[in-house]
Amino acid sequence: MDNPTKSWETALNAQRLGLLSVLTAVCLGLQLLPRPMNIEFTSLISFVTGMVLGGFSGALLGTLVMFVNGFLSPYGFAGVVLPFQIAGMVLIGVVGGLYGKIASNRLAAGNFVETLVLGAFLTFIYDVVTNLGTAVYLSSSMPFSEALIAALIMGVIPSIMHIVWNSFLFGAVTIPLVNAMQKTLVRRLET
Amino acid sequence: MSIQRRTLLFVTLGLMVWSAMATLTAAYYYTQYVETRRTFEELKSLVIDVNVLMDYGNGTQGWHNETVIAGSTAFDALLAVTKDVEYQTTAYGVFVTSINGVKNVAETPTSGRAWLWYYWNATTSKWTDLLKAADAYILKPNDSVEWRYEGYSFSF
Repeated sequence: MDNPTKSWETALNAQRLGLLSVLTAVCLGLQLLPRPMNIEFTSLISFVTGMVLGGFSGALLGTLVMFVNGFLSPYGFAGVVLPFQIAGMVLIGVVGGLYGKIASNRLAAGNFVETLVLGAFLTFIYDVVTNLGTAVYLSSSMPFSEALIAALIMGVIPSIMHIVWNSFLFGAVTIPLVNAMQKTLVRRLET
Repeated sequence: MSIQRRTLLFVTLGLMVWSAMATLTAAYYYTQYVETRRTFEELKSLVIDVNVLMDYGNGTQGWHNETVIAGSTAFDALLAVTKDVEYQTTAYGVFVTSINGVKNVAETPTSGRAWLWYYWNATTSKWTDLLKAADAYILKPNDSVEWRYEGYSFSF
């Protein structure tokens, strides 16, 4: 006789895997589209995936998308910056998982502000990490400390654009998207 | 986590991002300032300041402080003041025939009114006619030249 709990868990895992695959495909499609620099959806989708499906899934999605993006990005091959981009996106997915455990999905102003601040903070950390990669690249022609300072300073304007965009995106979209994804999971499991 | 601690955490995160980005932005604009300053100093050695006095001969006078490329002539300084200049190019250099619509006039075959230029001789403290065309005199830093509309006459 089948164990009903086990069958429920199997269905849940299949649904989660399906959702993760779809999200990865959507995210990759968006990431590879020609777009203005630093206007991206991968951070948001990694974070939201982390919140809904767990930190590991968020990190996995971020890793896959950034790995493919590193080779096929409209801005060219990422080179030595690629592992840093992956590390930054893994961090966003993992923090999404941690935040998912303490987050409330109510459509309240406080929650929107929280996700907005998290969006700004995580984007800042991501940019610092990727600038570290740029510094590694530049360090072939100058001391690493100078390369790091140059990378951080020269990257500040794109970084501001990135932070403003992601703050807006995280603040406006995270809670409604998480609610929608959770409803989809529950509805499919019930049918 | 209590609401107070949670609020404090997110306010702290927000302030961290704001302060870090403000510092980096300040550093960015400082480097831009240093770069621009260096470029300006380089360009400064390529240009000179000159003073041009325009005297229309009817009591109307005006000083113009211009910045021109090093190696410019007294004629270039005039063109820096106004583009409304008519002139003839002769074997001796340019001869200005009109400035801002005020044209040279030949009243008799040997006299009339025309635009002539003078150089300020700082040693003698006098306007001096260098007896050469305006495009034949290379300006030095802080030179003063005068374009004067005045009567002339000569005899053979």
